[in-house]
Amino acid sequence: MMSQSQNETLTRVGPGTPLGNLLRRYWYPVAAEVELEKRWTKRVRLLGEDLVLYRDRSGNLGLIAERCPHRGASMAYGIPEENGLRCPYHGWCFDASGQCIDQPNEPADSTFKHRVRISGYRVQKLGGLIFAYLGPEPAPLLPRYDAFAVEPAIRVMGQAVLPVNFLQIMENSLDPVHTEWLHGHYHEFIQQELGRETKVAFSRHHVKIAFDPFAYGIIKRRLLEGQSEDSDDWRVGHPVVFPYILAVGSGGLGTYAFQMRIPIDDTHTWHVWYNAYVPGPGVEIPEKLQKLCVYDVPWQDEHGEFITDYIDGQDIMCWVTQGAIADRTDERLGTTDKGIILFRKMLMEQIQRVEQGLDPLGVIRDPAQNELISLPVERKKHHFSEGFESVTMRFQTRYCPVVRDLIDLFRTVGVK
Amino acid sequence: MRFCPHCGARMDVPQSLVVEYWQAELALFLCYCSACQWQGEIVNQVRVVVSELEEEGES
Repeated sequence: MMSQSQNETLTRVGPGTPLGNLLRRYWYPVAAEVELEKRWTKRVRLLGEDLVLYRDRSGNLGLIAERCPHRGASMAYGIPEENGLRCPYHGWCFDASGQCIDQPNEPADSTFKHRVRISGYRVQKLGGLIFAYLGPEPAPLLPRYDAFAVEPAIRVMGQAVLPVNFLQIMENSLDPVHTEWLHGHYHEFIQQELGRETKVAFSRHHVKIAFDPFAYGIIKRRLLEGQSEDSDDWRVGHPVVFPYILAVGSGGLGTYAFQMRIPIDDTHTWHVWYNAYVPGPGVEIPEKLQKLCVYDVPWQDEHGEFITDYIDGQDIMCWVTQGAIADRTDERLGTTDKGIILFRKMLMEQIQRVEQGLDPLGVIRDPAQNELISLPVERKKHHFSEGFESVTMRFQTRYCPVVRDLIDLFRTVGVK
Repeated sequence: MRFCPHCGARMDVPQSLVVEYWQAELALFLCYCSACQWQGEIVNQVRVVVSELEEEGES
């Protein structure tokens, strides 16, 4: 339980808010590269700001404010130029920095355009994604976390826009015990209701849990009944990469799985499940798997009910039923919630660092540190011990259009 | 929890943190003070148990 004002500090992401200022010190995905192959613009809402991502005729990317400052029309319908995007309404053109560079119907000697500027933010490509940085200069480096940077890899990305604040989604990742119930016993119950008697590895009881801050966030560990402390689940664990990514391990396979919770605004989050599969040595990646595969993850059925027969759908049901912004003034936390409390404290500490003019946790400025950031993740995760196909079809990956290709490929050749 | 046990600053400000949680019958308050960065837990003691001091001459 905490006060309303503290809950607001930890959940308001817009410009000028303490958390908004902290979150603006990090890079966020705003699109997949393939999204801009067949179109010129994509409307983006990030950290409470309405923006337009565009590709100009030189192939350069830009991210600028959506509204033209002239009369407020949307630049999402803009005309791409050699060096910028032109408003469809009266032709004002803006470059990637947000500077107005042309006002075709003003007098030729007018200097008005020099005084017109909109927001323009940095963008960079990595791992098939386009990332944006909305914070102050100098911008830090875009972190080359392993899932984004390993090669060669098959990459897939599921996505959903969820009507909730990002914090309650992140808190779920600091709550290891929920897996035993939500993805274990509840999953078994749902399967029983469907006439399928089943027992899943997730339902094994937690003996203890632990949380260790490290250079990029918090490492979460669990010891399950019957496991020794040498098990990967306890010895290695997996990290919450501060402030918005969960990296999950695998069941003996060389996969990289990120769950990214990108704050759209105070009450909406773009949830991206980004997986990279590294094939074993000498395996050529089939052509149809070479580009990032993007797909939507459904979480409501035709009646508006939650789809809870898969793992991520179960999580989404819990996050959304907590309300748009979870009411933390009326919660009853227990000892298994200490990871959640640690994450809240970490957010407060990092807000403080930013206010002191310091870089917050995980911000990287040294290129030598950023060649390839290998995150510690368990490679023999008990929860995934039932095999690649079984686990893949119980996660949101079951909606991936190339899931059968992935399963067939890795059944025969394996992964690194 | 209204004041920091370390520096005395107000704790009911937006950027300090007091989170209450429970452990059996104990209520605990995880505190982070934005003024001095002190952090720690305050425990609401239900029962205080102390050992009796040995009396002089007792072996």
